[in-house]
Amino acid sequence: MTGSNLTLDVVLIYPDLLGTYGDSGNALILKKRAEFQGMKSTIISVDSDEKIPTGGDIYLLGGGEDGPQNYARDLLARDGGLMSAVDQGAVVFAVCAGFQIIGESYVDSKGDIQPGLGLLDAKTSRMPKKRAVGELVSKPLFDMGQQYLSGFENHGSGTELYGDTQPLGRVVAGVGNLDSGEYEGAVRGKIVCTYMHGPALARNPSLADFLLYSATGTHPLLHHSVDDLQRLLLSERLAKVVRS
Amino acid sequence: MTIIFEDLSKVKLSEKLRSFVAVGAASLTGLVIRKLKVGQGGTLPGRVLMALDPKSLTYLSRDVYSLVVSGTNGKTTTTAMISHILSNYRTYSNATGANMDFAIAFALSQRPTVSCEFSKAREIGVFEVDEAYLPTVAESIRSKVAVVLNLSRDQLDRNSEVRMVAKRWREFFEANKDIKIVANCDDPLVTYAALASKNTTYVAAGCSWNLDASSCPLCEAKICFDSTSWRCQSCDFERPEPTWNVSLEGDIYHEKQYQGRMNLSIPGKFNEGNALLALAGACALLNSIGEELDVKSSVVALSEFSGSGGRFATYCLDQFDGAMVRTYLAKNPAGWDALISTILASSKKCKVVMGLNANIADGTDTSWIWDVHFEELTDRFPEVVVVGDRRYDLAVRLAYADITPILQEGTQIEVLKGLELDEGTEVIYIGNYTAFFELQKELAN
Ligand SMILES: [Zn+2]
Repeated sequence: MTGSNLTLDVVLIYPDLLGTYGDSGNALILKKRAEFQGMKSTIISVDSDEKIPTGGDIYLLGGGEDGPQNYARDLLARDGGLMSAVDQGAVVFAVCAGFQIIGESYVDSKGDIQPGLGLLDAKTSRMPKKRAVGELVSKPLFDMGQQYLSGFENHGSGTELYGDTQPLGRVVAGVGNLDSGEYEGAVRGKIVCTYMHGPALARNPSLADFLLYSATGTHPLLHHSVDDLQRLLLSERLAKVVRS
Repeated sequence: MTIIFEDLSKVKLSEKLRSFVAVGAASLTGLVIRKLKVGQGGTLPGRVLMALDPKSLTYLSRDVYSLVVSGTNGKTTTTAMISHILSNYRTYSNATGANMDFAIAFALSQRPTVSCEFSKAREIGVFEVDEAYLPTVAESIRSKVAVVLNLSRDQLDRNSEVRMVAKRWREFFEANKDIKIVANCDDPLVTYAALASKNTTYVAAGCSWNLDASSCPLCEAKICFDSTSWRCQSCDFERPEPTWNVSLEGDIYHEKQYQGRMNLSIPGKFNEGNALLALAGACALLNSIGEELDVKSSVVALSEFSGSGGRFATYCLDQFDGAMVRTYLAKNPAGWDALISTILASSKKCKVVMGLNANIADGTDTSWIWDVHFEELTDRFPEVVVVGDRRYDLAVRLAYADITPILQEGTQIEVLKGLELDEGTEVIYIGNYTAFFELQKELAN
């Protein structure tokens, strides 16, 4: 957001490395919802050979395969742009592999412990049981005008939170952060993380608006027909999970 | 039913009996399934066969000169094209699209029980193989040729990371240098695997999807693409020079010699790539048995190829004006993007219907629909009819592409028949795996 004329710059980080699960969809949804509110919005897609701008409003990190995950971490650490943006108060929304690499540490495909970017008090390690794959439903622990959050999780590692990092929601169905735990996702300041793809913001318009509010301080004003479709999708998904 | 092997002496009687019983049981299962009309009869009988005789693939493929086709998209079509080109030979194929090891075993078990004593005719196997099964199947049937098409994201919930598949192929090709590889050099991941063999023919078959190959499989640096080629920014990994190409006008060249004009009756630029790979594959297989493919007449033969298993087929919707529906199958973002280009290339007036399911065979994670470039359709198709179990997912995706989704319930055939169409409008249906085959079943009834 620059000054009082509302604009929203959505920075999509390394879609060439962290974009396995339709993650660019989250950027599109944020941009469009900002436009519904009358803002001007731009998606700045930053490939792995490009410099990360520091003046963006929302930074998105998506899911990725194991090899590119370490490479993306190296580039992010060297670039430093994401950390500067966070210092300047930018919002970060990180999904799956993105969630793992911005914590203190994570485990790579070889089983080695890798340092993360340290933006969260979170440690990721291999889950003892099998991979968590399937529908994930949680009750958000933040006020966001949606009773349940819904997504699809697919991860072999689990994340433990500590310090001042809070979970995003309490798990109703699925695994979430840890197969022994009860929470999903993480929130620390303006950093929001989740294991939901789907992508997360398609099924959860309130989560999108929560991020927009964090970035701009504006509440959604206009009701848009897309909302109806998203609510239909959300209730269809919730009904399926509750029934089974 | 008896199976007679060329050198009986090397096969233990118990093993021969085992194979005999397994084939019999499998055939019986297949017969029952077809009689009861509960399936195409390739999956369960194959499983029965493999369960009773795990080594059946190796036995049954004796004296059959085989070629395997693998890749994320275009397997069934390319396999059917090769069978079509080689129709003068006695060929075996898993034409139903079932492509795991057991399905191939079942296809081979249907070989007639003719002794090789009096039949000197070459027997040829043309099999499509699931990407993950390529190494085991190619090894078991001692495949002469492997045609590798492309690799991209597919069925995310099964965690089949495409790079892992490429790596497994690479290791297999490295260890099996006798297999002739026919590879699409426009796909960096396929090339990465094929480069492990010196015995590779490169085909410029095109590849519009490169999101999964944006970082180098050798050094992780960025791969740069231009309209005709690609190369790694950092190491010397680059597109090899192909020996088979097709010009923009459709002129086919093999080793710079003109072979004829591409004139397919099925639509899609990607099918021209499949056809080129089919020609190169058939050529390689015949070379491996000391024969030569008549490429020019094969090019002509391909113009009569009409698709396989309902892919690209057109049906009359028996409305009063005889509206036609063309049915397309697309399982993943690369497939959908290719069909979107195909629809846009046609100047016909059409109405688009899309079907999305998320059964096990489709992959239960639908997030890939956000990787499809539906935005390309927005100007020409401001409205799209959506059907299938996961039509809400599709509706939200389309709405964010500024396309108005028309949500329809009921069976897909009912929806198609209920469409209000202007005169001369063709219906284009695109469905993912189970949605597509559900519709094919409905159309067949
Ligand atoms: Zn490289």
